[in-house]
Amino acid sequence: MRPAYFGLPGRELFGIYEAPAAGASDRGVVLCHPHGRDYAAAFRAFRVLSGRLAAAGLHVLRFDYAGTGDSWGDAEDGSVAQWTEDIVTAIDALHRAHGCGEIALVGLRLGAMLAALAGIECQRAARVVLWEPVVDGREYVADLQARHRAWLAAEARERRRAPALAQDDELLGSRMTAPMRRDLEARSLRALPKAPAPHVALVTQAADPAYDALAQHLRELGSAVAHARVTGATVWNTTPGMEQGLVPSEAIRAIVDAVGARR
Amino acid sequence: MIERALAFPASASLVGVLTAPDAAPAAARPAVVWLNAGMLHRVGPNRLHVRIARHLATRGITSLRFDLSGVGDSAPRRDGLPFRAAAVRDAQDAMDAVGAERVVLAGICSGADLACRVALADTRVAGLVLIDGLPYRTRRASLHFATTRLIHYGAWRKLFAPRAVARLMRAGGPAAPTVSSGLGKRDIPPMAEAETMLRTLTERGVRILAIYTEGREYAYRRQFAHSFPSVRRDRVRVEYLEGADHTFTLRANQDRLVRTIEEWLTVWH
Repeated sequence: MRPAYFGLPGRELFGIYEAPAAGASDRGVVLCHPHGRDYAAAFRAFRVLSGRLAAAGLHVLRFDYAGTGDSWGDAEDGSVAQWTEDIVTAIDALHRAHGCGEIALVGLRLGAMLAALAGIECQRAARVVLWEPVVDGREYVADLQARHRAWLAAEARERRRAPALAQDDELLGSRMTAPMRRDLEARSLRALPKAPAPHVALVTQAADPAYDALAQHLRELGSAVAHARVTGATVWNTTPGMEQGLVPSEAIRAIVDAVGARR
Repeated sequence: MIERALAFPASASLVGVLTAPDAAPAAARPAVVWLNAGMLHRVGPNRLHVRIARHLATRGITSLRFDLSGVGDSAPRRDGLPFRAAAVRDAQDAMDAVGAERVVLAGICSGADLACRVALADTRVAGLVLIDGLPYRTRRASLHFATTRLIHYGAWRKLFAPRAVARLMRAGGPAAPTVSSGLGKRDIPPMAEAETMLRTLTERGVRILAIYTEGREYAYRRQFAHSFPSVRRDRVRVEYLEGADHTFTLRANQDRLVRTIEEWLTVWH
């Protein structure tokens, strides 16, 4: 496991690289983290996933987007466009350093939406795995806002004085500026204009008709779509605590199968 | 500001990020080492360790945030050390990686508890920033929690039922709604043992900034003094951030934390 900064000077992204267990390989995968609370909650699952993909013979790079984790910038430096570009930067870094000719992208929640957008942007991903994707940005933002309000209400019940009112640009500890919110609200995977990759795998837990509609849309765009329905621990949307250690083994197996499959 | 990704010690099993000022820091200034808050990786809850490290770099202070073995990006140790001893050794490896003669260890929650144990084992530790560290409920704190619950549940009548008050004091109030206190079960020593530990450290000259948020365990400014009456007051500064939650979810409370730590650190000579 090798930690390193990469990207342009002053705008360096923090990444962790894992080498393929079997030695020489021309296949690489970039892991795309979810955002906010989901990022912290899924961190351990991403580390385990990274190890399994390396064991399956892939070069693996997981990294932090601008304004998140150890990467450059403050929360307000992030945007859908910036994060999409960051994924493309990570693909380039993996390609340059290890000569990966075949690249896959794996994203969870918002990271899945970003992986799909990056697949369209770079037109180089052979496979994209959408793990519990945020399909509709408007629903995602509304859900975060509802959780934030519920959290504030619960906080108020614990205290003599009501907590200082949150700025309206913060959601559960993350900054969400108005332009960022509007940007997210305007995004939907069901409105993708092009196929993100020749092969797309959906890995989902909830039986949500939105996922079926998404699979249909991706097929119409020309992708070969496989949909794996899994059970197990949810590693996103959790409150901070012990559950951060959970590892969803069935989902991880489905992802390794999807990425490892030879055409 | 310069940031570098580090893998250390020789086995490169621990992962960290060093944040340093552009100019070489003044030699007298201690470096800050952040310890994990529970299971959260080195960036800290709501990315606080990153924010504070970058802010301190603009004030000429170097910081390292890293993951203990088995946490975040760091691999488990292979030497079979038990968890508590391993965590102390990891922190010492981190101090070696920073290379500073004097270090301030900082941690939130379990990170604060660990910081105290590391300080006992290593004299390079000259200061501690303990955020919600070593919380012990005093009688007054229990009364505070009980009455807060009564206020919110509008159960004023219960005030006149002495048995109800006694029960609430024992329990610290009715079961709370699920607020993310994140505390869970803490691996902390008995209060008397913690007091001895803090007394030993302050008598050695270790300076302590103890910051408490308003939570399930801490309720008023003087709770630290009431918990540890024999600890030297001149070496300890206690800040009670009323209204702040355990993980500093709101930006305004993050700002208060950054300011509190910056003020305390920049008066070091």
